[in-house]
Order: sequence, then C-alpha cells, then structure tokens
Amino acid sequence: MNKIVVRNFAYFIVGMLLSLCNVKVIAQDSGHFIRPIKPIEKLTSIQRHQVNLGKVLFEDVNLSENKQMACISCHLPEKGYADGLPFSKDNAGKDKVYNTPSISYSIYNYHVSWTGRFKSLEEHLDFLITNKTLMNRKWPSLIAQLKGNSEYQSLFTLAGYNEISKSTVIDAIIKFEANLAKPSRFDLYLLGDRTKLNSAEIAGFNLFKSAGCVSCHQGINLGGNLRQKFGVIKPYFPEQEINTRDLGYFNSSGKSEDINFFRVPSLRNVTKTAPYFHDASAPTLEKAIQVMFTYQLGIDATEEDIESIKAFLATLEAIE
Amino acid sequence: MTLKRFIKYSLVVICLVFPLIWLYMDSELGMSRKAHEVDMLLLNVIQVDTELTERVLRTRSQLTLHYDDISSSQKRLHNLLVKFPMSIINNSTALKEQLSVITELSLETQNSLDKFKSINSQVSQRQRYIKYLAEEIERTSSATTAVINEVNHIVIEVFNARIFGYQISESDVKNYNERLLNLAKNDDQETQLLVEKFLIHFKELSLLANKETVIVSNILEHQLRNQSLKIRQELLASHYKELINSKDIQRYLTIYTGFLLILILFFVLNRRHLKRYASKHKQHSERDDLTQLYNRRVFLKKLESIIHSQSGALLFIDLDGFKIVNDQLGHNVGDETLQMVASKLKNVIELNKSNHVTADVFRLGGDEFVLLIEVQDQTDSKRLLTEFARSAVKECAFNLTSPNETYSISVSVGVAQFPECGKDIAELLNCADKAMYESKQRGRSCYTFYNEIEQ
Repeated sequence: MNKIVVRNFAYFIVGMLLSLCNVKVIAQDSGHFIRPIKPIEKLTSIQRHQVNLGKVLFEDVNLSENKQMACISCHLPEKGYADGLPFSKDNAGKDKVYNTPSISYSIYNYHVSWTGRFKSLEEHLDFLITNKTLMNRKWPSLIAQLKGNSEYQSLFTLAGYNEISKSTVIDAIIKFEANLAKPSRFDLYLLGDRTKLNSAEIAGFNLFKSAGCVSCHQGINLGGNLRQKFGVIKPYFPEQEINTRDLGYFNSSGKSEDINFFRVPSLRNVTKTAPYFHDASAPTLEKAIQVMFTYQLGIDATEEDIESIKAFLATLEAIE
Repeated sequence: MTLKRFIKYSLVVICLVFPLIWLYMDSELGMSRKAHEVDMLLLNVIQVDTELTERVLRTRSQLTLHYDDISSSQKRLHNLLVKFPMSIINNSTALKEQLSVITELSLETQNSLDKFKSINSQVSQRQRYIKYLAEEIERTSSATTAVINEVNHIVIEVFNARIFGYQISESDVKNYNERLLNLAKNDDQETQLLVEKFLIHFKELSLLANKETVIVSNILEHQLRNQSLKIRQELLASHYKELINSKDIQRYLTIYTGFLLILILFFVLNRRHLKRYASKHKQHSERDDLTQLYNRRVFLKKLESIIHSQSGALLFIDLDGFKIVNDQLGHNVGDETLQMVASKLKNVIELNKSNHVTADVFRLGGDEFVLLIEVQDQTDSKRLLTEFARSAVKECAFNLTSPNETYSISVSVGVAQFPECGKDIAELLNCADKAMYESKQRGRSCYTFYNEIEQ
C-alpha cells in the first residue's frame, strides 16, 4: 500500500513538473499574440557584442595579407563610410577601377557594388576578402589566424558564436554594417513629425518627385534596389572613347542590353560622400545633380532647382 | 535466477535497446527526410513565385511606387536556393539535376525581374518626360491649337495604355507620327524641333512599354512554379514507389509486431496471475479456517439478501459441554470436535434435502453454528423445520472417549422463523438466541421454537 502511494505520488510530481514546463512555453508563445503594440527593442547584450566584434574585424589590418589594409582603409567613418577620394588604392598602390561607395546603409541595398553583380552582402564580403588586389586572403588561413588569437576567441564567445568560421566572421561584420544605418531627419518627417523639414526642403522633396528622380531613387534606401542605364534620355558616355568601367553591368553579364547599366545608388548620407558616380566624375553634389537632370531626366535645370534638390538631399544625413 | 527476475531483466534490456533500434530506423528513414527538405524548398519556391507575380503586377499598374517589395522577394528566392543544404541530396543524382533546373530557372527569373525593374522605371521616366515636352510645346508662342491638342491626346493615350495595360502598336505610332508632322508643317522652327523630339521619345516609350509587356507576360507564365510542381509530383511518386519496394518497411513491421506480441503476452500472463490471486483471497475472506464453513460475514450478507423476500428460519445451534472438553482435553480435541460437528451439520443438510428447502450452515464463532433455512412451501414449513431441528439434535449427540473419562457432546437448538419473528436481523438473532437459551434451560440436547416459548 505504502509503495503504491509513494509511486503514484512520484508520477504526480513528475506530471506536474512536465505540465509546468508546458505552461511556461505556452505563456512565452502567447506573449506575441497578446501584446498589441510591439516596442522598439534595444540591442540585446549578445547583439551588442556581435556589433562590437564586427567593428574589431572591420578595423583590423592584420586580417589582410600585407597587414596594411582593413575594411576601414577605404570606408572611413568620418566620410560617411566612403573615403572621399576619386579612387581608393589597392594593395599594390594602384587606383581601383570604381569609386568607393558608402556602406552605412548597405544593409538595405538589394544590389551590392556599382554594377550590382552581387546579390547579397555575404557574397560581396567574401569577394573583398579573397580578392587578390585587396585583402588577398584564403579563408582557411584567415580562420586559423583568428583561432590562434585568444582575444578574438573571447570576442567570438561573447558574441554567442559557437565557432570561428567563414559564416560567423561574415555574419559579425554584417551585423556591424547593419548597425550603421541610422534614421535621418527625412525619416522622422515621413513618420509624422512635420516640423523636421523647413519649407525649402519640402519644396525640394516635391521637385524630387515631380521631376522624376523618384522613379529610380525610391524605396527605403532611395535607390539600391534596381539597375538603370546611365543616360536614359541623353547618352552620357561619348561613344568614341568609352572606358571598360563605363560599360557597367555588361562586364559581368556579357549581354549587350546591359551596356551602361549601373546600380542606382542610395542617396542617404549623400552630402558626405563626394566625389560622385562610379568614375568620380562629379566632384561636387551640384555637379552630380546637374548631370542627373540633363542625362537622366532631359530637363535643363536652373540654379534654383539644383539648390532646392540639394536642400532636400541634405535632410537625408543620418542624425548622430 | 528465477523466472520473474529473468523477465524483469529482459524488460530492462528491451527498454535500453529500444532507443537504439529507433535511432537505426530513423537513419534508415533518412531518405524520406531528404524528400521532405526538397519538398519544403519547392513549396517555398512556389510561394515566392506567386508573391513575385503579384508584386510585379502591382508595380506595373503603378499601385506601388517602389521596387523594395520585388527586391525582397528576389532576395528570398536567392536565399532559398543558396542556403539549401545541398549535402543532403549528395547521393541522388536525379534530385540534383532537378534542383539545378530550378536554380537555372530562378536565375532567369531574377534576370527578367531586374530587367523589369529598370524598364519599368525608364517607362515612367519617359512618360514624365513626354508630358514635360508637351508642356514645352504648349508654352511656345507659335504652336497652333491643333498641334497642342494632338500632343495632349498622345500623352493621354500613353497614360491610358499604361494604366489599362494595352499596347500601342507600331502602326498606331506611325499614324500619330504622320498626323502630328502634318499638323506642325506650318509652324516655326522651334516648334517643329520640339515636335520631332516629342515624337522620337514617344516612339522610344512605346517600344519600351511593349518590351515591358513581353517581360511581364514572361513572368506571368509561372515557369518556376510549374517546374516546381512537376518535380514535386515526380518526387512524391518516386518516393512512394521506393517505400513500397523497400524491404525496410517489412522489417519495421516485423519488429513492431514482435514488440507488440511480447507486450500482449506479458499482459495475459499477468492477468491470469492476478485472477488466481484474487480468488484465493476471496476464499480466505469468506470461509472459516478451521471448519471450512462460511463465516459470520457471509451469513449476515446472505440473511440480509433473503430476509425481506423469502420465508424461512434460523436454527441457532450451540454446543453443550464444549467448554469442559476444551479445558480438559486441550484445544486440539476442541478443534477436532468443532470439525466433527461441522461435518455432522453438513450431513443434516444432506439428509433433509428436498425441493422445497434450501439450507446452509455457518459458523458464527466459538461453538456457535447457524443453519439458515429457506422454505418455499409455507404450509409445510413447521414440519420441515421440526425435522431439521430434530435431526440436528440427534446427529450431534455423541460421546468423546479419552483414556480416563467419557464426555458427552450435544447441541441445543433455538429456532426463529422469519418473517414471523421479525424482519430485522438483530431482532431475529436475538429471538433465536433466546430460543436456544430456552433449550439450554430445558435440559439441553433439545430444540425450541421461539414462538412456542411461554412468555
């Protein structure tokens, strides 16, 4: 009799424990359904550590083959994560083919790089690290180097990664890049704070829409999600002396219909990232706006128009 | 080692081995997991394809102004195929080929989507531009009303074509061209230049719009979805065939049946064991150990069940001189005496057995016995009961001889009839007791009916 009581009691206890676990799980699940408004969540401590790890990797010159180059050599924080030069230098000291684009909002881009031949940041990072003219590293040796460094080991552990591998390294750097995207005054305006833009800037925004800039520079990133021909209305490149880089996406796809096609770049932080265009042919923003008006829209823009657009573009700077 | 222990240990061993067998089977079933993964991929591809078509159509009819939706779907499609764990399907070349078809198709779709985006944006740009040119023509002082009207008409036609999704054919473009040039013949240089520019861009625009229509109709063909559906069907069919053909499934069935049979066997054995156990305990609780007669509990139960519906009598039997025997000859002899009396009472029942009477003998405890008699025939009951009582007295009178002395054993009987003496058990027992006591008073070895006692 006693034995039976004890045994049943044990079953009861076990059952209660199991059901408690279930109740806990259900309660956790239902939280999402019950809560009517979701708050903006701060970075969790793991995410903070991931961003921090990404930053360290971003700035570490030891990851390159000649130990002089890091991501930060071409993407300077004070220049809107571009470098302000017409062309950055590669590891042999030569000019690179394309102007260095800003990466602060690259997380929202669909097409990566000037011709948009990469579909994701992962692919592009892989390309940059293994490229002979840039970091020039092989993944196995890079991973081995990271594993040999006790500091990196602790950083990876803190960031919640089980191992140091290609995917985790890339993931950490992308987490860092994603964290660079900060809202601008224009975002706040769109979210309902009408005082954030003055009348001149609003006039610029209206011109931006009515003149037709918005047909390419649209979406969350004001560009970055399609390729477009440079010179839609008027041909931009002189036909006699065309550079290889001016062929655009044709260089990757080899189709004649892709000649002069480039990714439409994002206009966020555009005031900080002079010079402009893939070949750095526009040293100032005014010049770039002028070119866009003439060749993409076919409109002879006045000084006021350009000033107005410029005023609008200035509202796209990230708020520090 | 006893059988029980052996069974216990074998059960434990089975419990330990079972998960291992399960793991083995799980790995054998890996094929179906593979099929499942591929199936999920195909389903997702189908879903993305549907989503893409919807978004393309919305963009085309200018319900949404940006391409983020299309790009996010493109990204999803890309990720689906890039992140699919190809290592799962390393073994089967057929699956690999089919998936490579899907990958190629998805690349094609991606390309046509990229093209769609740029052409769509160009079309809207040019649309805006010819409207701008039309305004320019209107602004010039020399343009005639006819020219302005025609230009505006063309602009409206272009917008309509875009919104309602029809094409402006080449012959239409040509007609517009000729008409407008005719109308503008007499205007001045500036207007003519503008009109020519307008016409060039109008032509370009209609070409682009036609291209866009072709691309959209290509996307609407759902090649990706159709191919996925086809592969899914093939996959299902082949998987089913494989499952049917494989010996594995028979093996699993055999193993499971074996387990089931063992369990059933244990169950049956256990049940038989329990049944035997229960009947033994029942006997223990109903019978008196010494005389193997029914005990007081059974007697009360039986009496309760018949006292209200039947008629009959209690014969309360008490041994005379039993105490002396017990004290002087010892408990062994006493016990033997009680057993003898019990057998004699059974004899009494045997002797007086008839169709009208059913009787049972119980030992209430100590040297008290009870005969419970049911009588069907009311008219003859007195005689029958008398018969019983007399034979009981007669049967149970005997001598015990020991080396020194002779003890005579006899019984005193009290009869209480029911329902005459009451319908309550306690009352009835009381009556029977009194009658028995009367018999003792009268000199023992005799019987007394309760209703004949002189009050």
